[in-house]
Amino acid sequence: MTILIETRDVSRAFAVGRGLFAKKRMLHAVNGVSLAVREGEVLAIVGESGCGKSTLAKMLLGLLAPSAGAVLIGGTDARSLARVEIARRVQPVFQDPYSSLNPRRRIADIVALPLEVHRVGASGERRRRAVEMLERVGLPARLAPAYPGQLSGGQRQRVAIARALVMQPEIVICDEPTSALDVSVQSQILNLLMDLQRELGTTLVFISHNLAVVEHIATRVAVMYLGRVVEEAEAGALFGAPQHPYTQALLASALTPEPGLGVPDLGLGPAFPDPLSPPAGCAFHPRCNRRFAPCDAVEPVLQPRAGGRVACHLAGV
Amino acid sequence: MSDATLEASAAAASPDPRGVALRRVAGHAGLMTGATLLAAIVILSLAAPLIAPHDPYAQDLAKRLAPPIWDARGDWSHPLGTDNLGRDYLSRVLWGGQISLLIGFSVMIISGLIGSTLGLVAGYFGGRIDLVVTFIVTARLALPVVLVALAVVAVASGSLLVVILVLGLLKWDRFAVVMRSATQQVRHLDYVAAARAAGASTARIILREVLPNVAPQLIVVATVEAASAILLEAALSFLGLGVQPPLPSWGLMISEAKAYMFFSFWLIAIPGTALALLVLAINLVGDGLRDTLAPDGRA
Repeated sequence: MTILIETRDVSRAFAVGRGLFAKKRMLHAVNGVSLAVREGEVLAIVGESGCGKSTLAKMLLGLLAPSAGAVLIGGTDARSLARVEIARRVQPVFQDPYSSLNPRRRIADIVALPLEVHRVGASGERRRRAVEMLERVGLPARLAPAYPGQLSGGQRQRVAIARALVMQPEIVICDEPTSALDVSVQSQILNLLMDLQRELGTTLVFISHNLAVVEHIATRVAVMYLGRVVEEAEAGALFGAPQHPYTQALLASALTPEPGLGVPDLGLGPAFPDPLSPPAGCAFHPRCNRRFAPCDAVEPVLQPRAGGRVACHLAGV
Repeated sequence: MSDATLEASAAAASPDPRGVALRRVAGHAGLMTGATLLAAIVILSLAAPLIAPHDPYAQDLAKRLAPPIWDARGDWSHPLGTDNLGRDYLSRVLWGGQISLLIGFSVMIISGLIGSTLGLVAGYFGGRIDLVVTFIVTARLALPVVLVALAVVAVASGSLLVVILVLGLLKWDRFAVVMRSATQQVRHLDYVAAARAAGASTARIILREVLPNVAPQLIVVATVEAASAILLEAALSFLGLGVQPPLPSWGLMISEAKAYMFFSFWLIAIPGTALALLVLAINLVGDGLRDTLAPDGRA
């Protein structure tokens, strides 16, 4: 399968000021991530809040330039591609449908915006295609002249999906597309995404912290921790036999529907490490219950394993 | 997709946001009062050539300082009396309204263009550009308007055009400050990111995505600034720095009447009332628009 978009060792650091006179410090939101997205797959990127998922998504969309490394779109460095060219191939669906639609434009205009920017057809043709796309995502044509304020959260997310798909991009990057929605609407949106992915053959990058959702939709999963990919594998392999202790903890933390079981004890401790001063060696070692000699000194690298890659000293043992 | 259709019918029943805004406007007593008053002043001033009983410059020295009709000695040939040169006061007040409105409107346009451009650019790009714009705004705030006007009039002599340019080129600071902070709030929203991801140009994003969403704040600042420009013109003309005689500016009329205020108080009271009513009307409209268009920005 051809690789549509690829990150080569990308990092992104932000200067964080702490008051007027304190020296600025660098926060490495994403740190040396190499991932390839192949045609037709659904790659899920999971990890807890602050692990760099959204920063990675912004770099894949070309909205944020990497501070090191490169994003390759169709084999070409994104920096040498025009914004319009990237837009034709990669489109986003954001987390919060209440802030991703311009409240002062009509639904049809919002969906037709990419067509307008790319000068596709005359305005009547654009409108027809926008309405067609709205119907495809399950919204009636009579909502076309409405404003976003008149729509529910689920409907708004459908509009955002229609806008992302109207130019028929190769890849759609969904950054937590369901986490701002009611539980009852979440499954509708997920099913819609899966249906559209099958019908249109669009490749999806699906960013989430919800493992139940990921298990439902993904064909391949990458687990991030403090800006690094710690494990990457086919969905079945990852959910069946997680290798990295962090992945194991994540899977164990996914709540089961049985109320008697309560919240599982992961032995992780409550502390999320400070991303401004990440621990030496393996970033996960202070929370890992299986650490041994090299963990606090040597940083593990991603190594191949059955159906994927894992960055853990245990894997080599 | 039946759930979606259900949701849709529920949404379609909820009213159009423009309709909601219109109803809020109509239900706002202050806004309606201000708008009616402002409309009346605008219509009367614009219709001055048609309804003014006399030429505002025609002197009739035999009828100097004639009192208005509510005085026992008043008569209908000069309903608001005459000034110290025997010019019909009603005609001068009507024509003077044109000057006040012209100044308020043009200053609002000039300063609005300068200020909101600077504010939008600073707020959208941030970083160094923001620092530069903030510095320019601070430098501008260090210049007192009346002193600059004094210097300019000393060099270029006072005229309507000079007053408009001085005020227009000086009074953009509030536009810049308000537009900057409003833009900063909007530019981090996802619909701006979505437009960028769709490949839209920066100019397009600022004009089509950001500007419509900061327009309510812009309108509110514009009304406040128009009222303040009208008052400043009156103040400058009163000091002799603004509009020059014999043009009928309300500020100038007050200034010319100050020598007669103990015997013919209406010479000050009439243009003073007109000025107060116009500024009150504009401020009521501005307040009302803030309540109805940008309710979340209410202090």
